[in-house]
Amino acid sequence: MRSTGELKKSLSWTLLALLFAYLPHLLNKPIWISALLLLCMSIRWWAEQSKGPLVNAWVRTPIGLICFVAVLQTYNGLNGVAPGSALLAVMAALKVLETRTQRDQFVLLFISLFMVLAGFLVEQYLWSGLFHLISVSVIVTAWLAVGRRGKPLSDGWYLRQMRRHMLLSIPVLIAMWVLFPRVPGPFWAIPTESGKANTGLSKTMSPGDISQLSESDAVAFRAEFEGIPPAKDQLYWRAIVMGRFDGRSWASDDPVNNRVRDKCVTARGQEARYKVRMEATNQRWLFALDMPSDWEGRGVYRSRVQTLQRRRPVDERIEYTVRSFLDYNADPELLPRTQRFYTHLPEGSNPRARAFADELRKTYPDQRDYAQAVLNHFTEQPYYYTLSPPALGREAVDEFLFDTQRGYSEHYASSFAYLMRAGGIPARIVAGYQGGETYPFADYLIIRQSDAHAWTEIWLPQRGWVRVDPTAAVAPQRIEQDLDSALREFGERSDSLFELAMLERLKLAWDMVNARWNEWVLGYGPETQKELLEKLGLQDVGWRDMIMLAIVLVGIMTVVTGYLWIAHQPPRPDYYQALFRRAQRRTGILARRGETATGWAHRVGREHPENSLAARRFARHYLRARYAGNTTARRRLPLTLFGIRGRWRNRFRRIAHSNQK
Amino acid sequence: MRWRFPSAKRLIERIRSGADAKVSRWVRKRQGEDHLPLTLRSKRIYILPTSVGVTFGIVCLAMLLGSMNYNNSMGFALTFMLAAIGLVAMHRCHQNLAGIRVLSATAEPVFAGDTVEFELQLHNEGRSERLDIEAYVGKQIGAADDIPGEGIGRLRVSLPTERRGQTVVERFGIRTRFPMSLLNTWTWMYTPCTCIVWPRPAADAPPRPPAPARARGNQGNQGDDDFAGLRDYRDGDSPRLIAWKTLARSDQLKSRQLSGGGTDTTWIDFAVTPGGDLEYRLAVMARWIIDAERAGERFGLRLPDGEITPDQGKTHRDRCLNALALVTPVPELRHA
Repeated sequence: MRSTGELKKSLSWTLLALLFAYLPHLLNKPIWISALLLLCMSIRWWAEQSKGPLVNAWVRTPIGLICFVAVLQTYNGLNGVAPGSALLAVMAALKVLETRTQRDQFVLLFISLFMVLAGFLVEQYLWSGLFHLISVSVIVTAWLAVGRRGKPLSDGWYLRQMRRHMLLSIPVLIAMWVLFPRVPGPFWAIPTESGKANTGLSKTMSPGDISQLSESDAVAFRAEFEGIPPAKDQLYWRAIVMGRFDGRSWASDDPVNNRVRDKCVTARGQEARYKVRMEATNQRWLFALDMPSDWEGRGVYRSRVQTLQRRRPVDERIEYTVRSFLDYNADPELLPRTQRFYTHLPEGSNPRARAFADELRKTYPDQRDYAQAVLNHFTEQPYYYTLSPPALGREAVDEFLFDTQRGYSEHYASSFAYLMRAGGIPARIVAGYQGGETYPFADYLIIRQSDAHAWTEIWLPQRGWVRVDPTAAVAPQRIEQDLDSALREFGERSDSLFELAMLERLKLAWDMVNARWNEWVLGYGPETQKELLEKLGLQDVGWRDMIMLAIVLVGIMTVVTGYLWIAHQPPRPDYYQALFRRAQRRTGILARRGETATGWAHRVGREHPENSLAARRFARHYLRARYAGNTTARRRLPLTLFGIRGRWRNRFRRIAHSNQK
Repeated sequence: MRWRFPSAKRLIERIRSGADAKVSRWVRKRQGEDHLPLTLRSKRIYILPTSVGVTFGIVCLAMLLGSMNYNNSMGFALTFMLAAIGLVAMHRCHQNLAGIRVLSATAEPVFAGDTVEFELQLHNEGRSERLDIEAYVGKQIGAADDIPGEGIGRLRVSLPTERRGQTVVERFGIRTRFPMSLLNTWTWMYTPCTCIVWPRPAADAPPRPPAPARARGNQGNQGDDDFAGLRDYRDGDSPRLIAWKTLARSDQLKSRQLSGGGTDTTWIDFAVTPGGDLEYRLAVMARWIIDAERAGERFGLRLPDGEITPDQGKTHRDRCLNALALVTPVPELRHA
């Protein structure tokens, strides 16, 4: 056990480290856990200040058991990050109470480290990353203070040591970051609560359920175009195709393995190339502009319904490159069976809509005319675009078309597709995102969750699937500008809510920094690593090669540092003697027994004036290096040898001469 | 004999001490005998993680697995940062000990039962301060100390003594756990260092028999009555020497000092010590020597295996006590 003064110093650092590590958790933990931890820390701190006794084990143990049960009750088990970090906090609280020795403090510091890790598992924003860096610094400082065995030093000293330590570790950190083989996980199941929250899309759609999605400002993905991005009304990012309809809701019709290799999409005109940086969704779908033609990316394929998918769910940030045709023919031939699938409507559902369709179809026998007529119906009748439409009952299409007439993209897409099918035209719903925010500083678009959209595709013989967006007929601002304009048009948003232009720019600048952070820090995974190494000229390296590479690099580093270290060691005395002997040989004048270097240099000056300066220079450096430990002189000493002009013949003669003597 | 359940703790202890002895023998063979002063170079510096360091490594590994599993980039960053910090700690821990010059190892003699304090004098040849350096012998660890850059530091390590004789340290250890207690860097020096342990003076020693202790060959100074002065009474003074008159006057117990103190020579003789075992007799002699020196007497020492010619003063006293400590058979306490 250490004396009180020592404990007090290191204990205050330990408590500070714990506090920093816990701060990011403060708000998302039940209040009683935070209160318990802070209370225990205060009690311990007060006990140290007043030199009071510590809390008895008879008190601590029951409290610990109660807390454990409380955590179990709060989270219904211990699986997952949230209950895990809650348990850590409780453990820390109880450990704080009994902290007495150096060992106890180390346990607290380990708990703090795990808390920081848990913080990363919850969120990985740039600002939280910076905060956690501070936490780690405080933990390291505390570590230095606890590890100190002599009398305690000043806080400034510990901070300086911490700074030095962290700075020294940065090169190693970067090397490990870039080169440590990233083995694709996961190894065990992750209980995730975030899967659904992360994505703005779902595989089913039933208009009538109010969407929370459109209000979310979170970034869904970013797209970087080669050249100028297409116009906003061309930016339809398709993700899911829904063809299965049960009278009220649409479901995705793509079975798992329906990839196609043949060219079902052909170009009719303009194309676009772009790179998509996508956030984790824990889903298999990817985003691509209508219609994706070629793509690059590991495990990416195109489904039968012209969407891009990935073999494994997107559980990390990924990147892929796509070429899309903005004007296209998709699936110009469709099997009669498939046509029947896309015109299927359940018997007896939505009778009013069906009657309306039959009526209209008789007036317009041509498919295109019929579709246009339906769109005109949306424009002419008082349909409203709103994010909070009334709830719909069982016959959702009927109710929307003839009663409520208020809705957002899903309602329009759903009823349009219904009317198309009722008119015998194959139709399906496409869900994805529409638009994207252009950037004043950078060369990419941000697509946010609020850009989520649904539209319709109808199939025309010889022409294939054609995109029809009924929402555009009702609220063209939604497509040409953005959601805000559309809502403003329909009086749902006032100008006062608009942020200032300056704030907007700041927001975008921050987003750009964040994008780079995401790309280079958070998104650095097996694929990015591979890409980077390929850029460095290392093609096709697996993670086993990476390990080999790491070993080789570490070996090289060891040799280099070893060399530097040896070079840095003060040389042995006979090293100087050897140099002196070399100088003597070079001038051809051997030092007499007991003669100092200075004496020798003077003699050289008398006998060989041309070497006078050089010999004196050598002697000066020799004395400084050998006897004053001057490092500069030590470094220069071998160089001074070259200043001595030795003449072979003379030298040999003189040596022979002195030997004869 | 009752069968005892094998205790894991004892077993581990046995394995540990066995391994220790083996490693020590190997290192001894590798390093050979050392002679001070010597400079600690990498060749004789060993480094291993401490238990905190091992835990740190396991935590790093757990964090690595967690980061891989959750594909969490910041988790990777944290793990790599910790690993880098550990590596830097290893480097600094080694550097903290390398290049120190050990000048000397000394110890002052002590009485049996006291602790003997070995002192190592170190010279830091480097410019940077060396921190938290500890000297140790076996399991006895001295206080940690810092050695300023290009300065001298003194490390102390205390060892308990039991009997008179010698305490021999065969192997000194110098170690450091700076900066984070993750690693233990240490060096072993096989420089036998001996400390003499004097017999503890017997508390119940009888007074020295005065008559036979009279020296031979002094110049006929027969009379004990040549009064020279008064001094404080000490245990063992003859009642005949007590200055009763002074006691009556001042309530102070004084002894009369007799003349011829400068030239008069007494002998402390092993032969006249009261019977009993050797150690007790030596303890009694130690008491007599100390008293005689305190009284400023001039005395000689006779032991079964030799004698020390009479002299006086502290140096003489120490020499006599050393002789007592080394009376054969010399008990030795060896520390490795």
